[in-house]
Amino acid sequence: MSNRKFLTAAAAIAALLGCASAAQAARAYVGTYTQEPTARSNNHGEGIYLVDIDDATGAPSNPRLVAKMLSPSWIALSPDHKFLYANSEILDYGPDKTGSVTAYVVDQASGGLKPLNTVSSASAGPAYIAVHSSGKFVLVANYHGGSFAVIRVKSDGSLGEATDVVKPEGPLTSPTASDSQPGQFAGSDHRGSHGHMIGMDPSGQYVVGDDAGRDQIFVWKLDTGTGKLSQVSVTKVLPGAAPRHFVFSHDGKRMYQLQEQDSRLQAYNFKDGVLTALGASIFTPPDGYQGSNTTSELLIDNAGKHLYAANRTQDSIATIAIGADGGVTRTANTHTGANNPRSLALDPSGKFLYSLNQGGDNIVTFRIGAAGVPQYAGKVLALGSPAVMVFLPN
Amino acid sequence: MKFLTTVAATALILSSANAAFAARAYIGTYTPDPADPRSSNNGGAGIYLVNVDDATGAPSNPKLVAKSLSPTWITLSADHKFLYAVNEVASYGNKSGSITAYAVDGASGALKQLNMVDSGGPIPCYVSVHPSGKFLLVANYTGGSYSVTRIKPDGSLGETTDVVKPGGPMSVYQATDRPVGMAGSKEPHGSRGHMILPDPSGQYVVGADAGRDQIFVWKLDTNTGKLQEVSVTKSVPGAGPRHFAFSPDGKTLYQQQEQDSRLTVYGFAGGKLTQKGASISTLPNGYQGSNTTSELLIDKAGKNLYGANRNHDSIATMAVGAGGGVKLVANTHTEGTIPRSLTIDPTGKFLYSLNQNASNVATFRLGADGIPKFTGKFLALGTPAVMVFLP
Repeated sequence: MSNRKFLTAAAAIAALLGCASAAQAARAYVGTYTQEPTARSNNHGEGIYLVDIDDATGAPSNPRLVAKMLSPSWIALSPDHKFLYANSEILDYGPDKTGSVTAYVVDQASGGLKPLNTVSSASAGPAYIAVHSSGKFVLVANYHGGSFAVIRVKSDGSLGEATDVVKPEGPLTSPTASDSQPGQFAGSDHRGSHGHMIGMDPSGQYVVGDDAGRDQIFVWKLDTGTGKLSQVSVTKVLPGAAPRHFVFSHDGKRMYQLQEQDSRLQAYNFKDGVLTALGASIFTPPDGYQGSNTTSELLIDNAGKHLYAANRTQDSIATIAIGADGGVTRTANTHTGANNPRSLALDPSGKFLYSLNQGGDNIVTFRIGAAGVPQYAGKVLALGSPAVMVFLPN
Repeated sequence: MKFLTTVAATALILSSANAAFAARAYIGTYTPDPADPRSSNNGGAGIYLVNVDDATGAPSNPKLVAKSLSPTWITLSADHKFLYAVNEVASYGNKSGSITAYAVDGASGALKQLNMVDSGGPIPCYVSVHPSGKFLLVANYTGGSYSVTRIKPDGSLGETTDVVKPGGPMSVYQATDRPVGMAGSKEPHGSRGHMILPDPSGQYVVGADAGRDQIFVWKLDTNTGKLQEVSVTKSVPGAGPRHFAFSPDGKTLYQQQEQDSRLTVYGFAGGKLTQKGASISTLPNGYQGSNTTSELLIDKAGKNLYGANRNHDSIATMAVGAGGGVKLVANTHTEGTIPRSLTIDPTGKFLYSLNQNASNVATFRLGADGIPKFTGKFLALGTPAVMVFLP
């Protein structure tokens, strides 16, 4: 090969690499609330969208509908990200009037989703879905039906039978929390149990579930043979507080629980599957806030130093610093840039934070600035009724 | 000695009188209407009186002074002896709305209901008093009409002297210049009376029709109470002209458009509007998604306009240039969702955001740059809609 030919070949390879590199720019899936034929709804999404993410600005762009489906309000990838699972937050699937869960194959190159199958979520209105670290089960929290379900994942990624459904019972708690701010009109339904989140602790030994209706947090162990949950502990939260979303510290020794109804965050020590309150709960809106608010999402940064909580109605992202002892202090509130943030997402690099503004029909990008506080990046992407955003690892 | 005691006693009385005359304001709220199940989540109960702290601007101590159905717009008579409120309902009489007259107790701020009459159409959302003091002007949103109601010498409301109900073809439901991703109404619709107000000269009455996208200018015959049309100005189809403000000299009208979140400047002469320059967005550069504007205010000096963005939930500060042109200079978070209206206190130092869905009133200080700065003061109040200072 002459020198010249070699250079041309090298250039061609470089061009190809550049091309491949561009094709593998960061991408994310966004689930949305959609119009439901049988329900009165005013939602503006159509299913699951794929967006491209600009590495430099963090801005998402070019949303394309990759799965038309009813209200995929939560989505999760399998550990090898070959499969994506989404719940349909609906009340009328099948004869038992439940919600549903759909399995997709992820086309790594295009990001396209190919549906495998759809099964019942076991109860109505599923709001959260996670894939167990074994990869063998999908865990679902059903809000309306008030249950937690375990669904077997088959070797081809499709969904099999529900191996367990936990449906809490017992006395009701309280429709309001005693420590709510003055003028709280926004209610969290307390007429029964409401599964709002189900996830694993970092060790993978435990499964944790939030019941926002009966104000309790369950810890289970999952038998990865039978797919049955066995209860390890139940922690009662302040009546009416509505535990909604939680995160663990990276070492798994602490758990932070966001309460929807009283807009407060409670830190817990987590040991052997048992939660023990760590200090007093803190308020997530600004000091002196009066009026209505409900919290939604809670995230922890890669360093484990900051928590980000979403306030709906006051419409801010609370930055909460984690002290050396695991205690928490709210340090800032940043306007979400539009109303009703249903969830937040951090990009894998930890440089950018996204607010999925369900009422604003948009995704607003923030750059994580000094002291971990999100700074509005001037980038807004229109997308109807967005609910959740999950990055597709390259 | 006796003299000194008398002086001290007089001082006490004066200071007490002073305290009694600290700034006060009325706040109208959305309330549940038993006839409308969709209203069951409203947290207000009627019209509240609040005290306003001179130093911090903070409103406090809300007292319900008139239990009433959704008094979402209120206004005082020129001598502030009477207060008029719409009842934003469709359940009065034959599926209409209503307006209620109250006598104001100047000392206590209490309201005594005089009477209630038909507003001339369902869902009245704006009320103003004609400068003659003889007529009440009402815009009916769903009814798509403007009504004139006689005010009797005792302040109570008499007969409806005119109802203007625009006809003609329906307008489009989305404006071409709306923000990308704006999810608006999907249905074409008829007229929606959203505001009616006399101009500063008192010669004209102006009405914004957010449904058929037009602005009416009338003259009011102060004997018959009839409106005579002077001009009709078409907005961008689908723009939804909602609230407007006049420059203090009455020569310029600023029209805020609900559905495309834009503000248009018009020259106002001889009862005719002439557009000046291009409209501007009330939203930050690059905003995408849903938003509707609500209130528009102008400061006393006529230098700054304040527009409320609902969903983006911000107060847009727009500077008025020497030529009357406008420029967006800042967006300030309202600190609560769905600002239904804004109010500036009589001193011009404070601005209030009435956050309907957050059920609070947030207080802002207006600095030298005219940009509202949040004071950290919130007042919880169920679904607030409008705030009017009692002089």
